[in-house]
Amino acid sequence: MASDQIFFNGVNASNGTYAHQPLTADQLAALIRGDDPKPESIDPDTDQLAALKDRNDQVKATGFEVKEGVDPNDISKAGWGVIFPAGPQSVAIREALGELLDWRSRQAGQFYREFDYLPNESKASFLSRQGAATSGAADPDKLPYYLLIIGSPEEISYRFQYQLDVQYAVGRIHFDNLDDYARYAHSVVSAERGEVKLPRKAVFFGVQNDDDIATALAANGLVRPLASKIAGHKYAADWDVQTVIGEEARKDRLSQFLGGSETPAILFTASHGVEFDNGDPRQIAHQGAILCQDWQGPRWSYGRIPENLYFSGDDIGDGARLLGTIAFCFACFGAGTPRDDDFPHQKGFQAAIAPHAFMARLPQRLLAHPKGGALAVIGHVERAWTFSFNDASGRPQIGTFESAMRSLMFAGTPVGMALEFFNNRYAELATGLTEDMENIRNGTSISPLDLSTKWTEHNDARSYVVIGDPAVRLPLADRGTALISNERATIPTITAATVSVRPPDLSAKTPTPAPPPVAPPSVPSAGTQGWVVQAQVGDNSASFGIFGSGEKGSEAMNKFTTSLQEFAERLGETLKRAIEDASHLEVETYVADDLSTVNYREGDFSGAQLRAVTRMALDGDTQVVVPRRGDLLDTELWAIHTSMVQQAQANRAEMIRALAAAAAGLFSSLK
Amino acid sequence: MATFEIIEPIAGAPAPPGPWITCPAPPVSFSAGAAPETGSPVWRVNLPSDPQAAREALSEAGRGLRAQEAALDLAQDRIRRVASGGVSFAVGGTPAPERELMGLMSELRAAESGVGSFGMRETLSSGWNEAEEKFRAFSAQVYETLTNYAVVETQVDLVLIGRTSVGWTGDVRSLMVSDLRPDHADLHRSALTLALNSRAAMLRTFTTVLRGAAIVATMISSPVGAVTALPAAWKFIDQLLTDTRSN
Repeated sequence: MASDQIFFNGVNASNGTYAHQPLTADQLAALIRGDDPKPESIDPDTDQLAALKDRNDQVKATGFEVKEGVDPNDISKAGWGVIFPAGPQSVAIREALGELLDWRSRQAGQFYREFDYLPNESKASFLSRQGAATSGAADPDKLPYYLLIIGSPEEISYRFQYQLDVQYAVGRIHFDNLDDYARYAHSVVSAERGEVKLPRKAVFFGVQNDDDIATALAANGLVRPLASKIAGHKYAADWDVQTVIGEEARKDRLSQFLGGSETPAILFTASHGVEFDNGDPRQIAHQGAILCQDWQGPRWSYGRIPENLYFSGDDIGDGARLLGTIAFCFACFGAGTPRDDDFPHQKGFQAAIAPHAFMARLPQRLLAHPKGGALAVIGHVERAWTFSFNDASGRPQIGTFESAMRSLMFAGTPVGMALEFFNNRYAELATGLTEDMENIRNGTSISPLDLSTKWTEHNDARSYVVIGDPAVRLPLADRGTALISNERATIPTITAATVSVRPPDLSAKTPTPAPPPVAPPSVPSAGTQGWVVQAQVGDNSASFGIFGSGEKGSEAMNKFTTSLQEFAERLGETLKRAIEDASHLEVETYVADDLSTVNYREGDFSGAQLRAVTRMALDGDTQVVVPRRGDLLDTELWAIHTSMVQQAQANRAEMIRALAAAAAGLFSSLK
Repeated sequence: MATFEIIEPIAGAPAPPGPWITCPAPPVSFSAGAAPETGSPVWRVNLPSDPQAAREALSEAGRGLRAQEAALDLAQDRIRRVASGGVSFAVGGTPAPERELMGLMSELRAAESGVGSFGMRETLSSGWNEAEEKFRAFSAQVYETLTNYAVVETQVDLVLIGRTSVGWTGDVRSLMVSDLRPDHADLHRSALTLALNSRAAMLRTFTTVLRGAAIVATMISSPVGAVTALPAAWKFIDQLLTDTRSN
């Protein structure tokens, strides 16, 4: 029986065979258990095991991804942050992403953050360094809920991403050039500014290769029932849900859905992902590409699989129109490849499956397309398994997929949050599996089939990742609105701004002190301290020459020091008053027909009409005067006013920080 | 073409980080529509009427500011490298800020050792005095920033569409033209964000100078420590920001 075996959705395109032969449940269970079964086999990081258990308990108890009272759909409450690998290489990338960072900064206000990731840092270390709890619901006061990782999986590992994803909504981007970062940034901002409005169209694309059990299971156990459930949903009435399965699911048809004239708002694909031998010249460019119906299956195909049978990033032409699309690609390696095999036990599997970890090129190309890219791709790192949608009896269990798709399509949920269904499942399965392993160690008998099923599901759920900003949503046209044009919007030509700062190469080894360009020193004092000038002790200023020599220099120095001392004292006083006055914050918005007629003095606008007021006290009391137009709220003015409130809050916190830093720095200098 | 001006009441104050050009404050007037009260800097953004061009101008300005902020992030490390003698001449020459700092310090060493001629000391003195004067103006600008309103004005084709004053304790008062278009509201919000970010970057510049001075002080081991080094650290940071802005 087919269901007695576990199939992997991967075909080795280097030699045309299955990347991994099907295993029986007993075989897999033995692999999982190894000779010395222990919970650490699931995840050797004990902090992560605790976090998974916490997450599982938390979801059961409250269902909250973020702390109670915070709407995870609202970036201004849930927060948004970006994580760069520490080092000068990130400066130019940050610059290229400027448009997106600026946009998110405005949306998230005080909950916008930027972080450095230190090499090989664990989730627990990273969170501790930020002062955030290492488990439990996300607290935007400590760390934003939406987190975008920038960089390759060699710089910031997939493992870190999986771990962080348990508590937060995480996505990742990594491109080979700065223009791609700038294009992606512009695509996201364009979509969120409303410059692209997509018709409600979803396509479910399922390959069903001849004589191939894995894709048959996927087509019948995942794609068909998933499409059917989505199409039958009460909110799907205004959606065009298309199903393209089997013979239709050819490469040329897929090209119509990925940049062609039939590109939907959301595309779901299920197929084999092509895999290559470690080091194959095509591996980096094509691993994870979608093996289409054009492949005739294992019986009739021999040897190397040619490019015309699969859809890779190379197949996305420059004229493709993708802006705004979100894709969910179920395929082995569809999102990326780790360097090492993800199996915890190595029997029968190579340890290294690639020269280095990398992101799949297809989603990279989709996101960074020069005409405007897809906003996100949900995909799988490493092998995808049939047990993720079929239980041990072969019955479909597609609730996780269905929930994620429904959230994206009908609730307008950000993609990172929609993926929480997989993360919840990962936490639940990991917790159950850990308990099973403990029980096995204590002598309890567990069905090998149950064990292998849970392990497979656990692995699968863990390895779904978002490629792209986790806060993006489908940019759908308003219901009932006729689209002006069916043609997909595009973005103008975008290139990264020239990096205006060339960061110093801090890794360069320059142990020898460099000579000064002028006036070689005659005082033998540089030594290991570099440019140290010996001062004469006694007269504080007489010997430096920097303020002139002799009496005049001394006077200048004293005057300068005195003025700085006065300045420091005034700063200290100002800081004290700022803290005292921080007990309330007031934001007022006025309007006038002609601004030139309004007198402006002492921060007031005499002659203008006060339309909205917000007064916030430190104890939480808030008084609000809302603008009305007739009997209704003046929503446009209210939107302006509330954005000013956010600006005010963020600005005051920044000012007090700056004031404190300046005062402290100055006092320190004067010591 | 977009312009970004800061009407600055402090004479000789440098342009803050960002796209800003410093303009001296005009004679104070409280007539209708006039600039705000004395003592407050006015951050004035004039944008083209084409919405796309206006947004691009603001984005470009934001990118420039972030590049300068990134440069500030690296400033302490760069000063530290100079202080530890770790600057290499080998690849692509020495960057101007390092060159300025090393030049000042080597002049100082020469002067200190007594090998310099009288004329050389004069040159040295004027260079340091200039740095000190600029730092003094910068300090005044920082103090003014921390104790006064910041007024941000957005114009489209020289027509004022929004003015926001931000008090140093955080209170915000905005004046908008009635029936402000949503895209114009967005432009004013962006201009306000840019100005406040620039102001924050200016304050960060100040603290970076202070921290840089503590590092530079290790090069001169002066009894007055970092105070002595402030003008040199200021010159380094100022050069760094200038280079970043011009690139």
